[in-house]
Amino acid sequence: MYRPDDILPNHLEADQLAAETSRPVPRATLSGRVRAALWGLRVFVVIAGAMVVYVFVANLG
Amino acid sequence: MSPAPGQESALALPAPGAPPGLRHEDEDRSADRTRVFEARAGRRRWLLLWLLVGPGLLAMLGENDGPSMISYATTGATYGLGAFLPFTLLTFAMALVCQEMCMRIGAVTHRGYGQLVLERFGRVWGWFNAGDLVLTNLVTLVAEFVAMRVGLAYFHLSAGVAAGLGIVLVLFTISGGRYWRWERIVLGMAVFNALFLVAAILSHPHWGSVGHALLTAAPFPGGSLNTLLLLIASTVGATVTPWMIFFQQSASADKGLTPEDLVHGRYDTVLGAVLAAVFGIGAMIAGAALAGHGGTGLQGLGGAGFPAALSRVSGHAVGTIFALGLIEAGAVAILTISASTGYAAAESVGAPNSMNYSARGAAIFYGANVGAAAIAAAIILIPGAPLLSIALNANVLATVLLPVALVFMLMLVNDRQLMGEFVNRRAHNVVAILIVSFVALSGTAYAVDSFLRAVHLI
Repeated sequence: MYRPDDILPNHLEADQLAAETSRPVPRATLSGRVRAALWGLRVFVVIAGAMVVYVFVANLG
Repeated sequence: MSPAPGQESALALPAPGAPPGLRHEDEDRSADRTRVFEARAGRRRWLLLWLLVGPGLLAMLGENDGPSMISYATTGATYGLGAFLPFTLLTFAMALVCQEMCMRIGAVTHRGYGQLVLERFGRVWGWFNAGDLVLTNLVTLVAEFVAMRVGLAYFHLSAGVAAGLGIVLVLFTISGGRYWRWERIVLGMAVFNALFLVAAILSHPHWGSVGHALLTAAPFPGGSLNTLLLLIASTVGATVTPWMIFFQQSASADKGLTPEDLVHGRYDTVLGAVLAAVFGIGAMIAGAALAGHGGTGLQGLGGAGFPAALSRVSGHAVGTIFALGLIEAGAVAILTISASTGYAAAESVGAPNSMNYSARGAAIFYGANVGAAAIAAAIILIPGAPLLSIALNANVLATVLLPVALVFMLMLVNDRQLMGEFVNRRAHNVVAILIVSFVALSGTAYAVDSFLRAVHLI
């Protein structure tokens, strides 16, 4: 789990330096099914959120 | 971090032998890590724990915020002591599972949640997530200022004082340019979340009833289905929220946690969950004193709110302590939620995002941090705002938007390229999926039922 070789003399891990964390990690490859599921979840959340906002505004009146 | 055997890590490592270019942020973090190293080498366990706690405690106690405490007290006032007591414990257990995963991702990858979603899944998903967070954070921040305003109103102080105090606190805590300083100041303030437990004790509850409710989950609440669904959704939203996910992962990375610190990160998160559960239940018990005194009509109390009602029913001391607790809960949450807004905004555009930067070095991070708090402060100065309604709906909105954040968190924590040997185990994933499903169901049930009632379809 823990590799002492990765620790620099300043007690930071090598991949913990700001210069390293500012380098982006590579993009994940998502299957079509996963992308569709994520979009479905997004649409669901937008609709449910709109309902909550509508009810809140309607109750103000 | 170390990748799984035979698998290449997605995290970049510097070229072998290359001199590490230390930035100011690294130097500050290095000083913190040196103290951790020395405490660990000297087997000074309590010092090590003291050095490594923070993000978990702040996420959990920060979520015991104004709206949450009002929500717990409303539940107590509406239903008395019953099924909601053990239900609240269950929601904190859910929060513990989610927050441990955030801490683990931050410690292993050294990156914030917003940054990882943006880089790993692309701008569209990164910006959607950041947009959700900014929206819920703004609404929640308004509710935090409302909580401070309600607390201060008990002492005859105006909304302007609440707005000014909140902004001054934000500016003061971030002014040092050090994560450690910010964390310790906010932790010192969060200790006063215990005021809700003091209020509960001073309200002289029947402890036998508390124990009976915890052990039997009885009596089960009756009454309006919509009110029940609202309180379930807002109780869930009071313990598991999008900002906590952003905050604990980013703060764990900013603090400099590493895989070696995972055990202490778990202690931190468990300690935060236990304390927050005890204090949250304290608010519910204190509120339950109002159950026999028109508790269900508290929506009509408006600006007077709970402190004045408790003062009348349970005594002046309970009202005063509850008011002070609301000020603390609102203030701590303003600091943690505005910080999470700063992390999310800066991470979503790839800008510097650390408390260890100066204001000039991380203008977007600090600008979003202060800007979100300033917008919320301005909103509460608008006269006639529906206080309790905003506070309760802030939690509901967070519950409705939470499933997306949780799903991406699950994808990240199961990403073997990022997490290596630290990915979730199967049982952990089963529990996490059950939590996501329950959160989605509770938010949707209230949203659909309320909407159908609002448009007179049921």
